[in-house]
Amino acid sequence: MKKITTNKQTVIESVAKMVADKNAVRSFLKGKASIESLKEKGIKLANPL
Amino acid sequence: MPIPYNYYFNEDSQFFYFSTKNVIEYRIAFIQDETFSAVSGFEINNVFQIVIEKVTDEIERFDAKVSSTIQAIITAFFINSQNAMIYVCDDKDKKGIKRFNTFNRWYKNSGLKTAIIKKDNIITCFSNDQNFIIYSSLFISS
Repeated sequence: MKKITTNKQTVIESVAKMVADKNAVRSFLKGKASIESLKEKGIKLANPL
Repeated sequence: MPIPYNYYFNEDSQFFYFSTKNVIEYRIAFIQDETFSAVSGFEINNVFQIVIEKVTDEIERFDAKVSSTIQAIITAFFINSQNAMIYVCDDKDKKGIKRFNTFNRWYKNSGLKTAIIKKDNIITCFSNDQNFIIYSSLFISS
């Protein structure tokens, strides 16, 4: 089995981004931010259904 | 379970939406989540973060059809068994645990427990002399 070594800072940054992305999308859904602003942040919305 | 409201997908803005009998609008978006890829160093696809937002400001009285509609969307999401879903609550307003427990309660009562596994992870982060708590759940097909 491969052992995955992860930098703690990478984990913190990734988790922090996850939360920041959510807050940005909440603003978008409320009409307070544009879809372009999400794209600038690298946030990709999808229809996975 | 109450009959869900009809829900629709906005192609231009890439979110789902529905309106309740009290004219309260909800919007649901799925973000392509790359957290696992970033952390593991491997490309892990089909992971999405769900964001649910009541966009109408008025306070709505309890409406069981709201949760059944969200459940219908999540059930449709898991028709593709390769999909995985993340739900996160941050705690900046100190209400993270309340939202987390509400979502847990919904999951327990949803009837999805046999088809969808939920793994919770409460993460305490220390960064820039600040600590913050993130309540997260990962949902995968069983």
